[in-house]
Amino acid sequence: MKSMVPVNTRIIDVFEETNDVKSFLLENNLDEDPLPGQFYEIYVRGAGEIPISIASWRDGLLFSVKRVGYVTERLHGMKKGDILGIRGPFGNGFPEHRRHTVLIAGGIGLPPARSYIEYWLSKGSRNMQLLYGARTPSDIVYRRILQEWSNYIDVHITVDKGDKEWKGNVGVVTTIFHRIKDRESDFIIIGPEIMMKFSVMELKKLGVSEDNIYLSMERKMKCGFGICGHCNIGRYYVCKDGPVFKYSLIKDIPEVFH
Amino acid sequence: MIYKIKKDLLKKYIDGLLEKYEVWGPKKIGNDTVFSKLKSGEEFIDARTLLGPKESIYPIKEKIGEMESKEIIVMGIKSCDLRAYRMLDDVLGIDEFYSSRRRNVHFLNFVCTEPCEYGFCSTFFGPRLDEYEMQFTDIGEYYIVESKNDKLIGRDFENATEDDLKILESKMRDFYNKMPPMNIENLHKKISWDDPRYREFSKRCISCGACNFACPTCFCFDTYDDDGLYREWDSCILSGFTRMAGNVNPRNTLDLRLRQRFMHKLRYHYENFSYYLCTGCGRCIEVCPVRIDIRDFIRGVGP
Amino acid sequence: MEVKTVCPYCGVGCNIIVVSDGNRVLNIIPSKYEAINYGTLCIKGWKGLNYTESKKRLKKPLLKKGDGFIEISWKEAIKIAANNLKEIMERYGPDALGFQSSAKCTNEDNYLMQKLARQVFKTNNIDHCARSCHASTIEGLISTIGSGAMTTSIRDIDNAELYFVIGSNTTEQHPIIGARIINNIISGKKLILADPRKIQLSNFSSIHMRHYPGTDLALLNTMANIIVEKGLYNKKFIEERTENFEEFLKVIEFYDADRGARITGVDPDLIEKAAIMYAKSRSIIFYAMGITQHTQGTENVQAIANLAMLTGNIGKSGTGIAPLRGHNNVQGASDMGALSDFLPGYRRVYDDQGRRIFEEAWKTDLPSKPGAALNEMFHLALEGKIKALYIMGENPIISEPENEKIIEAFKRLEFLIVQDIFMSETAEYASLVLPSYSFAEKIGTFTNTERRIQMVRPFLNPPGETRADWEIITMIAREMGYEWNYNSPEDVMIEISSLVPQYKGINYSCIENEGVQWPVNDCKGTEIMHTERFTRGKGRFMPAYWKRPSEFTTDEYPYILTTGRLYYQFHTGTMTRKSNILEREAPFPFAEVNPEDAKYLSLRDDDCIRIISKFGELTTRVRITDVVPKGIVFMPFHYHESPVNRITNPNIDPVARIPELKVTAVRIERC
Ligand SMILES: Cc1cc2nc3c(=O)[nH]c(=O)nc-3n(C[C@H](O)[C@H](O)[C@H](O)COP(=O)(O)OP(=O)(O)OC[C@H]3O[C@@H](n4cnc5c(N)ncnc54)[C@H](O)[C@@H]3O)c2cc1C
Ligand code: SF4
Ligand code: FES
Repeated sequence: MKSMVPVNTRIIDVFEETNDVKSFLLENNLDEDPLPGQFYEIYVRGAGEIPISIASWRDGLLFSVKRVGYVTERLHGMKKGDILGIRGPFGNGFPEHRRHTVLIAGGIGLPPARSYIEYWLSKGSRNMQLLYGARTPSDIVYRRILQEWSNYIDVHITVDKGDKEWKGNVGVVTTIFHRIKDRESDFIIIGPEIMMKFSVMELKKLGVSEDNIYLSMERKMKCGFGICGHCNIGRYYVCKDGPVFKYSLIKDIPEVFH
Repeated sequence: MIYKIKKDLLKKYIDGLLEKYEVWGPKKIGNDTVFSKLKSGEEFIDARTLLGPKESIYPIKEKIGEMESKEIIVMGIKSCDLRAYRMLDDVLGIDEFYSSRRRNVHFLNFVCTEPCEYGFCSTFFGPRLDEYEMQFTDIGEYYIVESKNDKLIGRDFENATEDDLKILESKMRDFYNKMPPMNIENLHKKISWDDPRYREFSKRCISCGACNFACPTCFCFDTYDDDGLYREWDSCILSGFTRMAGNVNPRNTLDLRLRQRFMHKLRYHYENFSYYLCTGCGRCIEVCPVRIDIRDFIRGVGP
Repeated sequence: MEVKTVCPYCGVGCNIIVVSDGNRVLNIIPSKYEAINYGTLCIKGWKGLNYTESKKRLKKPLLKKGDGFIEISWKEAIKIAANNLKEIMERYGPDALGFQSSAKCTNEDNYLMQKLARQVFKTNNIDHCARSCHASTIEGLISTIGSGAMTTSIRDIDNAELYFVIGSNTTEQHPIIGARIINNIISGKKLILADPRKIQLSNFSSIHMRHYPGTDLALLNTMANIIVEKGLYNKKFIEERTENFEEFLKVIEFYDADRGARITGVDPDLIEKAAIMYAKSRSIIFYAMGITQHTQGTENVQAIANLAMLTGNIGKSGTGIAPLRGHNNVQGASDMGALSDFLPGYRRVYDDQGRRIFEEAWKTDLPSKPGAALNEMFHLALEGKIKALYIMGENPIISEPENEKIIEAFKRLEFLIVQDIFMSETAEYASLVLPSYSFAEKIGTFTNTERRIQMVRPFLNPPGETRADWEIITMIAREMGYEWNYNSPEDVMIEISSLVPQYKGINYSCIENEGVQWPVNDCKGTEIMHTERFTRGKGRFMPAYWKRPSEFTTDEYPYILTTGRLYYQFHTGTMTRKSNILEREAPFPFAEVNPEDAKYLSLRDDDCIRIISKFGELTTRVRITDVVPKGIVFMPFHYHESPVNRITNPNIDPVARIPELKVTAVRIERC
């Protein structure tokens, strides 16, 4: 149901992923199950509501949240057993998995990518590749799960800035684009706008069709279902028509990469 | 059915409605005319108000989950406003609170027979509507009352005659002569992202948000926690409207925000719904401290 | 219910109609009042009333117990207040008490507050925030033209040909006046701007002089000199209506264009062009804190009056001097004598004749020595000379300079009463907190920046056990044994109208629909003052030499910090920061730094910096922008997170005792 009224839900568990990212496992007492790439509005009483992508929904709803401001700060202070409000799921989610798909995730873009990978792995598909860029090695989330996935799919990780222990690639995510197996894949890009912008540029250089590139867009959101008017990019509402857009659909709107 | 009612019986009619309903209408407070709850038919005046009665279906601020609705009659609303609320329905209709309130409000619209100072409704739908509950038109001694819901017809209503309708028609012809429609053919295609006037306007705009708050078709709201969740009318002219965490703002300059307002009304909404999100009520011009004029903007849109 | 009232924020005094159900605001409608806001409002008018409904409003009198507060009854509260004040007065003398009134409160509240100080407690230690904004205007204009207020009206802006705006960011601070100026410029009028910052009005200026902060007097003197040199002054006007012209000439002679340019950093041609344009047109000068908050604030204001008199640009339609008053009722609070050196109606406390009028009316002897100014009260408290303060509707911890000293001063006090609508930063230190009405619950009058006395009417039920300010003050006076027989603010206004000449004959029925501008006579107002003669008789030229500001850059402190207000916030944010949309728009403090300086300091947008002055230090975030010129840093003062007044310059203008908040030398470090 599309409603402005949050439903109370309990925090089953909290996991510290990195310095500034925590995952919250919540009871799922909503009627509808999500699809990969959808998001929820999470209400922290006394602080406010924020849109957060679903990362996983096996034994409850899992959200991974980076601490960046007022509400996320308050959310990070919540503990197992505390009550949150929740509404959703909202948005269109990722496109159907129809062929080899390359997920390009930057920073806190990995949680939504996880929802896709987990979902389609569970349906038996291994026809995926993950290119993941983090700021530093200590900002890498889901280390254990990344390890596990690499048993089934091709996973490449890069960091903007390495440290003593880091043996992998150093550089922005486009520096590992030579790992892309198949240019005829679907490409799903999730991350900060600047990273999406350069990724699209590079993919186009590789000859990837604009119709095969999907972007998960981020805008300020308030309602989550197309009535508050906050999240539009041109004629589209990111909450309702997105957050995932085919690049060819929105590329001519100057607001896309501001 | 088409009725008529003697003008001086209108007060009595309203007093009758007041026995059963909460009735809103235009009334005088000091030298100003405002839309508010009526205490008696005596207070009612048939006049255009600076702001319409949008808060009858969509309060400026309300606590989420505690919204209430009751049956009320909004009398004397102008057609531009009522037409605008039908547009709101297309967006806000899926909101349970909006729609329950909307169902409970009866709008009795009054047709303008004289153009108002800033209005340009003839460009869109004109001062008369095809969809209404009861529509009143001043023809001199009488109001013609077109009714699609006879539930509210009172004792003092008579049947309108052919002659009455002729007067009505000629009044409408006069109206259109006095307010010739502007050419808006393919406006949604002509209006452009890089119109230099957005920047021009941004030099004088003082970011008061009035164009949004006075607009009958604006629907955007903000939500926030203030001992419970609230929602409140918002304005796309304000930078906080799109500012995200870490000070990231896709519309970080005023010209981009002004562009959003014009393009939402005259292009995006058309692309989604095949009509312009503007009824030509002229309120945004009237409440603008620096007189940014959407009529001039439309006239000046390139070929 | 629908109530016509006045916006509680700035001195423009926009008329609004509020629709409410008694507990909540349902609608806010701008009045189409042509004289002021013609159906428009700024964002604070549209979105700034949420605070009145805030659940954080104080509801009961509170008494400090240990580290916390306990709720007490009004009866106890009034008794405690009166007893403590009385005891301290008896033990240490009347001047051990200090009273701080409020530009947010009505004329009636302010009148009674100063009456309480003077009649009941026999002290002139009564002041309010006009001290920190327009004290220099009062002194500067009284000494030159005889009256310390805007000489013309808002409506009259339309009749001018040219606007000279100096030290006022009009579109941010007085938006609806700013808008009126813009509309006029769009229809062909001209604007001269003197402001170091590239403010919005600079989009419309024919000439923008970006002078160094603190060089206003040199700039104005130079303009005057050029006008004299070019023979563009109004000889007839000067002869017939002014005095001391010869003295004036002697001083301004010194300021040839080149010297003026050297001091101010403005191109001499630009100064010359500005001077000629101003002299040749029907012009109004607008100014605000950029002129007044200096150690030479009074002289700056006098220089403005000099310029207007020199060209005859005063006393007729489309001309004049327009000091823009910050608060909704800072004009009225000053008129009411909530000032340590003035009785109501601007009678000096040491003027025996003037004082006698009040001694007779109040049947008591009154002190003739000027009392302590706002900031002096804190110093005296620190020195142990003031033992009790009674602060109404003010938050000096955020708004006044050197706030650490103020906190220290509060701790030294034996008794501190804070009367407010919220638990402000200041109230936290109170011994006794008295919860009062906000403007939403009040009847009374505000006087706006153009001297217009307007009705304020209630539209909400008072929360909890709050009381009106006038009523609280009256209760204390009665507890002290004085026969104050006011039953309503209207009774107070009757007394005001019999004692304050500017308000002569005013009553609520004559301002029922529309306010009037003082001086009032039999309900008739005055739109343009000084038409036939100046209030003081002849206008007097008051020349002065420019002095270097008390603070200047050195190797150790190479930047100049200047402070100001933001469009979305007001004063210390007690109201705006509780109005959600306004707070969203400007949620955090910052410091504006010019791109060149930022480059030199290797700063990026949003970096954390430490700003250090002789008086203190604070941290904040950088906003890189060419709004500020090289060498200058700007910070808004609304935020307790980065209370800029911890580090601002407390040096005062010796005449008006206003602090030089606009010029502080600082150093910037990364944190
Ligand atoms: C579809 C979508 C999915 C997202 N998924 C995730 C996720 O899985 N993990 C994660 O860490 N973050 C995610 N974000 C970003 C997250 O919503 C913001 O970081 C968060 O709202 C910041 O709130 P704050 O109160 O901490 O920040 P503040 O800067 O204090 O923000 C104040 C208010 O502004 C609004 N706001 C601020 N930034 C954003 C934003 N980026 N998007 C929408 N509203 C905003 C919120 O209403 C918030 O209450 C997602 C955003 C979107 C649009
Ligand atoms: S201009 Fe001043 S008085 Fe008018 S609405 Fe804004 S803050 Fe209120
Ligand atoms: S979040 Fe409200 S419209 Fe998209």
